[in-house]
Amino acid sequence: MKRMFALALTLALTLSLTACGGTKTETGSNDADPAETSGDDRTTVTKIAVLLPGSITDESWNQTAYEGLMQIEEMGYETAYTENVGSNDMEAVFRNYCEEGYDFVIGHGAQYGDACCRVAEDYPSVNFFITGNAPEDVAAEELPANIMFGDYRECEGAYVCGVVAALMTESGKVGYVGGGNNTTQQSDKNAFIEGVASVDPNVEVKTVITGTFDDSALGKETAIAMMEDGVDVILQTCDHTGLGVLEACSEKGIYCLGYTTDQSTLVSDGLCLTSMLIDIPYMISNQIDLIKAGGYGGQSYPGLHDGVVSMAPFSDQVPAEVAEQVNAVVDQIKSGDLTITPNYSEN
Amino acid sequence: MSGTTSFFSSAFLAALFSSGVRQSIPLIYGSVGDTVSERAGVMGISLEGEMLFGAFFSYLFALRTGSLWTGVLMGALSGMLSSLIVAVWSVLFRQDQSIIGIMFNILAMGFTNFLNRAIFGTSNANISIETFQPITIPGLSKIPLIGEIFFHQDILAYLSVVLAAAVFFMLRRTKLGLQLAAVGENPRAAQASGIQVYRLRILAYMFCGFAAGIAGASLTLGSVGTFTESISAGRGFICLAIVILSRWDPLAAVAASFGFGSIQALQIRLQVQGSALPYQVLVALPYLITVLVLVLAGHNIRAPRELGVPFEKESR
Repeated sequence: MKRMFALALTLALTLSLTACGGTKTETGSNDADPAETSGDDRTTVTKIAVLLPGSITDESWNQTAYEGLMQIEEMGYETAYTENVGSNDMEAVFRNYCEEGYDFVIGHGAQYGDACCRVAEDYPSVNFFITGNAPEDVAAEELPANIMFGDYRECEGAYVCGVVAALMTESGKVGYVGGGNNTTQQSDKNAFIEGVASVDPNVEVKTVITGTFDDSALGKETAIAMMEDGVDVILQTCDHTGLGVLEACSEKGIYCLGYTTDQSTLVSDGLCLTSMLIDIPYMISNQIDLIKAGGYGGQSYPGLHDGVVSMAPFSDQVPAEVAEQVNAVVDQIKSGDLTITPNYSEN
Repeated sequence: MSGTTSFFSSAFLAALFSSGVRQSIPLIYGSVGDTVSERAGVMGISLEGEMLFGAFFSYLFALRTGSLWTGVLMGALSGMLSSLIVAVWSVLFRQDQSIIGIMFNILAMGFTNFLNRAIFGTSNANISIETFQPITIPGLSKIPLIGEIFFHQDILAYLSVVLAAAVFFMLRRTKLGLQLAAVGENPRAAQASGIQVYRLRILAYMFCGFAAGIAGASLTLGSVGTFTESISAGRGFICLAIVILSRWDPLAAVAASFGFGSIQALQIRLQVQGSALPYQVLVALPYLITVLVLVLAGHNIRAPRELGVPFEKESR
């Protein structure tokens, strides 16, 4: 009896959690005049929905997508989103939105690719966007034409960070602290190593994958271990764990590089040389323009060139000639003279 | 392997085990606290959540008052007060301790995240505070290697060992220790001999919350200098394993915590040196070894008999 009561309470809690992650429809002020949906030309957008893997207050991946959606809403579109969409109900949620007349549906993360492919063929008049790379086991020509895969190039920013690190190190050793096992993290690590090598192949890159995005104390110990080994510039791409890395750099007076937002305010004395910025809101809201331009679908690789990836202003610690060299590399990538191919290999 | 660092140079070993000591501090507080409550028959599943409360409130008060010690005290008190929720539900209302503990952990994570955002906002400009600095013990710190590792640590490290020793003494040599054991082994007999079982169990659990609060404070005020969401990162559960490994002995828990911290420190350094092993193996190493030791050395582990079993005064 008592156990049943406790179980019932647990159930209630679980349900309330699910309720928090419920679907929400919001309508913006109607200052735009979306045209009537007409047949299969797919150049009109009226109602937009997003499937999110987590909750919109995570300071990061989900929150930025939500911000992008709000920018769309301000343009006058009707929007909706569903939080915490796991693999078991991806397809159902996709279909639901399509049935309800949403004509642009976004799956926020590469993990939505497979489910989206299955749904997209049944709704040829609906546009889909996946924030990530296309499923690797499907040939490019077999992907449904009404899906756009936005395989954004975070690695371009990591490459530039590698260039900065190699130019700023005095000890000849630089470090990378990653959070875990996904393609973005792996391509960040590999691009960082590439960027360092492009400046000076003799600079050693020490890498640690902490396996967690939450453990700031472990992040700090990791950075200290690197410093003991002589590392004097560290890039971290691991959210809360990375905050511990920044703290260690701040305390011990070592250079570091920030991730996703300008993290220079978190580190003393301008030791945070620059940060690689990822503009997810812009990437999401920008899709509307692409749809209106017609022929929406396929695979795109937004990066430095499109403003989805960018570099934060340099700190005072970066000499003018270093800044100049780095900016030259950024320009090369933007102009297409230098291509950074994401390398997803683990080790 | 890089040629510049030798694994057996004294500088490397000193740095390695010094990091091991730093990483063991929250584990020592947590496992010593849990030892006391488990001796009395209440499992500390909710350690993880109490650590989060301790971490958040210690940071908040240290920041607002400018005093690290106020922070530690408030962290400990918040851990203790929050543990009352679990204590009352599992002891007085006799609910399943695991379920209450898990619910509490979810609550603690959500609640500390909520407070963090409500008070500090969502920008990443969380203010960092000056942490406890290492104190060099005169004389002892001159011992080669040992001095560098054990006698150049912050005050929370020294106090954790003092706490463990005090609890060891309390459990072995005092009437209170005997009563706690009685409550955990055979509460009915304890009740018959005039011990107030509920009161003792609740007090033991509150002590566990108090210690878990200090464990949380050691993360924010001893290490990182700020609060980050989910900062306890599973340490509460590691403490539960350490308590079993150390067979409900607080001094053995200190050793086990130090072992776990050192393996964690080692795996980071193996990655830095560029090990041939995939990083997944290294990341899992501390946990793999914990499981391995439990399997190999755990054959005659005997838990307090009534551990996790709610006690009903009236039933027979």
